[in-house]
Amino acid sequence: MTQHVIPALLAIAMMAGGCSSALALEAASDQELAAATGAGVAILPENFSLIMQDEDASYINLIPRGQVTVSGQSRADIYIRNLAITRNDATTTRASDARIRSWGSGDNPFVIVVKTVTAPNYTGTSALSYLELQTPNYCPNGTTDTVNCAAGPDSGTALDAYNIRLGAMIDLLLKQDSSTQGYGGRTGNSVNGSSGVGLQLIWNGLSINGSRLAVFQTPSGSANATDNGTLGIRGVIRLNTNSTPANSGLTLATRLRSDFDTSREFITTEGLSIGDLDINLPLGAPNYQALTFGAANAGNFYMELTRIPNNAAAYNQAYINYANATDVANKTCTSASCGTASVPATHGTVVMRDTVFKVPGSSTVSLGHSRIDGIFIQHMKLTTTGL
Amino acid sequence: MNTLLITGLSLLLGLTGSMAHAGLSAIDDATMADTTGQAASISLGLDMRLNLDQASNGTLSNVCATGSVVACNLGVSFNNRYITQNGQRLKSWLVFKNTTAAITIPELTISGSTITVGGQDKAVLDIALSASQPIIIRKLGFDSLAVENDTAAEINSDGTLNLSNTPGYRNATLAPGQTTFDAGRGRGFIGLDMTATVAVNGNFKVFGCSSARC
Repeated sequence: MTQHVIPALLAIAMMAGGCSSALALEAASDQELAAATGAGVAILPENFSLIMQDEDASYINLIPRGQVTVSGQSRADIYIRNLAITRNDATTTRASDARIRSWGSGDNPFVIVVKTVTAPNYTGTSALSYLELQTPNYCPNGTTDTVNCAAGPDSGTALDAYNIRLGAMIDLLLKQDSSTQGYGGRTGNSVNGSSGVGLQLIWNGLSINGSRLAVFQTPSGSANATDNGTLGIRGVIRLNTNSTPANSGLTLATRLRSDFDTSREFITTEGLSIGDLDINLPLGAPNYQALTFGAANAGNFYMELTRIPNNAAAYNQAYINYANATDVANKTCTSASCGTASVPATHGTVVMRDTVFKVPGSSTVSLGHSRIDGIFIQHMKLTTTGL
Repeated sequence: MNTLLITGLSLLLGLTGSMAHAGLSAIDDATMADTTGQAASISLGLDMRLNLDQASNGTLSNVCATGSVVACNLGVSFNNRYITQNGQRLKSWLVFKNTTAAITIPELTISGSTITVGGQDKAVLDIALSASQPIIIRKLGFDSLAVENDTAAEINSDGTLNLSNTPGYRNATLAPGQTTFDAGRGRGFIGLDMTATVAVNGNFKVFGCSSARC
């Protein structure tokens, strides 16, 4: 594995190095400077919060384009509103400005890095360079992962990274060809009547640690010409819930308060909640499987997770021998462990515990648990067909 | 004026790092105290409008008035993406039609600081935003997103540019029907408009990565 430098960012970081050691009035020793290898840029957000203010003119609008061709159909005009990323304060309505005091630590920061890895490709093995964004490693209290958490579990304010709150309101408004584009005023009628649906999403106790996203150029040699030499993305999606704090988990609510037009809030004692949702899912693998994008001939757009190639080096790395417990443990991404640089995880897990819905004026109805231990996407292709 | 001095100072201090590396002596406390002001941060404000006109009452309107004006289209063509037509390879583009943005960041400060890495202090660049001064974003997005193809081969057999080719990102086809909802917009399957007041707070500490992950 060789390492490269991101020159411009590094120059800034190095300047900062000189700058603040001088502010502290201590010269950097040669050893200290040598320790900064310049292999990547580390970023540590502290006291972080992001709150999109709740006003009529404050939204992210996904606009449906194209003519309605089927009688009785409408356009689904989607507005994401009041998006908030804060520390979990156990609120079930609106986010307070609780801040993520330290999203990672100096020893376990976000990293942007350029690397080269030698790995199986479509027909053999080759070196591949990629640019990767890494969130901090997933090392909560009591972690058993001694490879990715060699420095020990996170502690102190860095534990805020395992207790994040993600909140948003999603309004789906029905629009006709004759409607004008835009949100208009937000009233109970517009989001819970004949003209739309309102949804409140809150995920308390969330952690994204361990997630990674890499971009690269796919290798050549695949029998599927469209897999070759194009933009490829792979990553690991890790969304884990800390079930200890009050009100943790993912909650979806759609019932409006009677004073919605002024309070703009949802009733929180009703809705669907998943008490402990853990998603640990690898998407693609170095070199032989990537998420790619392209145009279908009729002008449509597709997104494809390319198929596992007929190359022993590749499929032996991708597939799990379920008769071998070590193989299963090493290649399965769970909350506890998720592969290493030498043995990347290729299978994912999804766990939903305590899935319940709450009925007005009645007790909570429990739907039970759901889990799967070996999600392995051999191939996936999503194509738009409307154009 | 202060900002200029501070910028100069940061450059000078940046140099200090390399001098130490070269084995020269560091500046002592007394010398530093004589040299500098104390508030060592750079404050920046950003106000940007991209492809948007602003009327005196603040209303924004697109510079490219309709989808038939293609100059505001942003085209992205991934490597090795084309269709084959009559034996010719026609390049495919992902086109963000009529791209616009208006962003105001009232204050962003850049200063130096330290954090603990491996039990030792490490110098960092501290980029800070305050929730008390929200970022204002208007019309960040595009009218429609579409895949469009070139109309002819991009390059002639002699290596020159084929001038008869209309690149996919300059496709001026309007949305079908030109209904009230789509009036004046280019064809595509989705549009995006982010208009929001976003309060972002945080100290983003940037430093050279020295862990095994790099």
